[in-house]
Amino acid sequence: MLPNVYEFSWEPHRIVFVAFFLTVAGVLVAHVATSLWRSWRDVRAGRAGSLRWHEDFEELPEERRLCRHASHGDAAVRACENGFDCAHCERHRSRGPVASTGAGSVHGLEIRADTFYHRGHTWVRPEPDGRVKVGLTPLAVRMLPADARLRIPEPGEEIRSGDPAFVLADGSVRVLAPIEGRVVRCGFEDGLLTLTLDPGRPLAEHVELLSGHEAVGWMERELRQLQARLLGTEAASAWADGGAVADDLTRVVPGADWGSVRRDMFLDA
Amino acid sequence: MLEVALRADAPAVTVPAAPPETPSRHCSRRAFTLWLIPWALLLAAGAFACLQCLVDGLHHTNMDNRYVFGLWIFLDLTVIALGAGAFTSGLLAYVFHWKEVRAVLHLAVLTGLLCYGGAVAILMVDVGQPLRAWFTFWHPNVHSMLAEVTFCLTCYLIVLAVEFVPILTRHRRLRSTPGVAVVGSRVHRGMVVLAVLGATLSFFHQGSLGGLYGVLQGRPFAFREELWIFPTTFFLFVLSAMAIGPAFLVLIARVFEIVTRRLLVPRATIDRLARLSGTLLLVYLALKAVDTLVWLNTTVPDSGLQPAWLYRQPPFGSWVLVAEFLVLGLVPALLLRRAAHQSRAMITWAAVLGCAGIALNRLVATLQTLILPSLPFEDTWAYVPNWQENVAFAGVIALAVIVLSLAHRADLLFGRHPELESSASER
Amino acid sequence: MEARRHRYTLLIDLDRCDGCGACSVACAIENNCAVPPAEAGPRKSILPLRVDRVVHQQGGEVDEVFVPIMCQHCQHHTPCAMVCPQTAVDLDPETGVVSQVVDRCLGCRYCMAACPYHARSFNWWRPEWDTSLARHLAPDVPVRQRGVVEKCNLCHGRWQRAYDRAAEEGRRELEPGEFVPACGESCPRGAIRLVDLDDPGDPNHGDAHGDRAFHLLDRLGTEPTVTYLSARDWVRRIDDPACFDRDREVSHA
Repeated sequence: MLPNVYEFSWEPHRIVFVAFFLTVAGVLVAHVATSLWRSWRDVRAGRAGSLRWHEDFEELPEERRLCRHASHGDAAVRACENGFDCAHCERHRSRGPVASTGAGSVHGLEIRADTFYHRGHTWVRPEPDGRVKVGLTPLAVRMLPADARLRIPEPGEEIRSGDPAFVLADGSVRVLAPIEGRVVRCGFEDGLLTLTLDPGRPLAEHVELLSGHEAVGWMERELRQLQARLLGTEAASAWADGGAVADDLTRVVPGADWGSVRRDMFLDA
Repeated sequence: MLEVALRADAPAVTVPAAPPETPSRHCSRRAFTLWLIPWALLLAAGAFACLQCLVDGLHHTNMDNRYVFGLWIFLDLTVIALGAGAFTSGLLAYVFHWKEVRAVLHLAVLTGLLCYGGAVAILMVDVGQPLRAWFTFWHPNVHSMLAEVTFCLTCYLIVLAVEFVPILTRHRRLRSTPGVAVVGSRVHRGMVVLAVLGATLSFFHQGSLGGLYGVLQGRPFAFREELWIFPTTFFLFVLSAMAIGPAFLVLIARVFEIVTRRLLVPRATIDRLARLSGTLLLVYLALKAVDTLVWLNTTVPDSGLQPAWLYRQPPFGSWVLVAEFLVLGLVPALLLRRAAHQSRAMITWAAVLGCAGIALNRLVATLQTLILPSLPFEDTWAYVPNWQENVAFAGVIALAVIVLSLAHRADLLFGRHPELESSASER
Repeated sequence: MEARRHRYTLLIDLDRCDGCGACSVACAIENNCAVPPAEAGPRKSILPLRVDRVVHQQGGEVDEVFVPIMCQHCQHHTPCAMVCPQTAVDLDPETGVVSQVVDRCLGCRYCMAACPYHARSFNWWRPEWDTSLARHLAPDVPVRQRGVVEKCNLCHGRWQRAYDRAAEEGRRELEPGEFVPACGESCPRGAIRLVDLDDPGDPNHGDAHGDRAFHLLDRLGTEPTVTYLSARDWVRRIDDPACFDRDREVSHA
């Protein structure tokens, strides 16, 4: 098999044979070794969450990955190819920043003017002391059972890009944190769970967050998509309530595949 | 991590409002267990048959000094040809950028891994001294087709295992361990390299499996002329494997759909793969026809034999040629080519026929070669596999079914296709 | 001084062989073959040398011949040596003998599929000898385990012993008759003899290259060395492919 091991002879057929398989083995070993080494470095550098997010993003259905510019009647633009990382996106840069202000209500779901919204259904609001408060959007709350218990990071823990802010206690869905930062404390606002964070970067750098009428449009689309998943139709008249979304959708539509619905809506592939 | 209630006014004791088991895209746990039980029993029986042969000797099979290759080798060859869908789909997706193929990539890799892993497992039982398997690597005979097969198969099995890592790391519970998702992601980035490597290795081992028989100058049925340095069966085996691989993939996907009673693969994927399969099968049949004519009219008479004698030993009569070329060859090839105009059920049947045709080809290569003696005064013996041989291979199939079932339940195999979920079952 | 190269092989006179089978038994004893279990039968036993009986019918006349068949020690593109993935088959250029390296054999049986003479056997069972038989094992021949292929090695152990004895006496060449394989030694009619095809001085050399000499399956181009002798035309053509079409009767002795 190898030179100087019995029966080896320098004939062309043998050289080709041995060279071919040593090359194959070499390429395989090199690939596996570099993958493992790079992975170890990624975990050490805290990039694990971000890498996982970008991988999971590919698995989401296309309708969950719509580019924010797609709604502006821009037919050439459909699915996001960047993991919603608008700050580093050519498409976003060429279209310019989205100046969006205002507030609104979508069938009883409130969009506040002073709040930024993450497409994974969390909101961020800057506080006077430089910290930020993070919570679940009104639609997110309604997708969880009223008695839901969530696992949250402990005070002092660091949340990195791609890490979850809230995990349903049974582990069936992870709600991603809108920004990176260090957890200060948890609390309740309007009876709902919130986290207070020391942001890792200034909030202005998070250009992927939605606000104002862009956020209102986004919430409308989210509600329609949720309705289509639950009831099989997007028509607004299906909301027999006459306008407001029910408090606990899991009671209204108990027969739905909630595990799958939540994972889609919270962008947790 | 802390655990807190979502609402400040949540009751201390949780009262379940939703039904205890919320429905998902899979069947209930009880139904799944009932499905697994018979396969587990079959696997246990197969393991017993294999252990008997490993511990006590291969006399527990019906093979003998004339039929040195039997059911196991024939099925190994078939299964390796069918598992070729793994490398063809990898090539189509990562090198030729066929987007439709992505829907079945995970299935292709796992099916390939199970096909090749199962074949190697049975091979380890089939050889007399499995612990000496490493001798081939240390003392290789570079002129032997079987040495080439050993090297290529081993390397390719490793490639498949590496390709499976990103699929395995998609498992939700595994993924929650930090680092697991990252490893999967990093391995996945090298997929093009793995796809090309896999295709190269597969080309050589599929061909060498055909070359196994083509080089046997001492056996009247098997020997074939050489094209460059390989017998023609080398190229025919590669082409037939590439042709049937996508069709087998479609067949497995359809079996999943039939068993789970859900649509799992978009029609565009099925159509494109089936059409490719049909086209390649037609090319293969044309080349095979040329090879058979040359063989019957030149090679066989040159060795002094009458071609008719080759097809006179029962059970291998001239029906073999009719079956291989027409019923299990041309018919499924044409049906698969027109996949876009067929129902899913028709495509499934066409795939079954095509796979059966390839299986027949491997059966004939193995057993018809052995049944025909070189010395005219030797009689021919009969061979029928005994229960150990049948059950051992059935056990491998059972293992494959179990692994595929578990993988599907963990949502590792098929992506999400909203357009399929809404429609009622369309057959 | 360099030793001369040899091509040792068997010269089998089919006009003398009466099918007694003593050669087959002697071969089994010399090669330390275990007694097979009852269910082994001819299909699964270790049979390095078997005797086939071929009956010839032509126009009312019936004739028969007994053909001892063993490894034919093919010299060119040896089918078994070319296909073995572990190089466990060795063609010795010095003696012309094709040997099986049983300690390296994996038991894949590819060589058995390649051999046109079906001269190879596989150890389907673990070979076992009861105490009395165990005392008779030939010391020059290794015992094998189950799961390996074996065949005639032209009594290589006997050759080695004769060679060593000659070396002690300072000779590099063997005298005629110093090395006799077990089959040749046991044949009561002297039908099996050893011949060195490359030595014109060998007493059997003339017969081996004479009119009565033929090989089985010469047409394959593998240069089998085992030489058969017969004055009968039909016997010299028993491997003729035209015979495939004729009815023939075969049984194993």
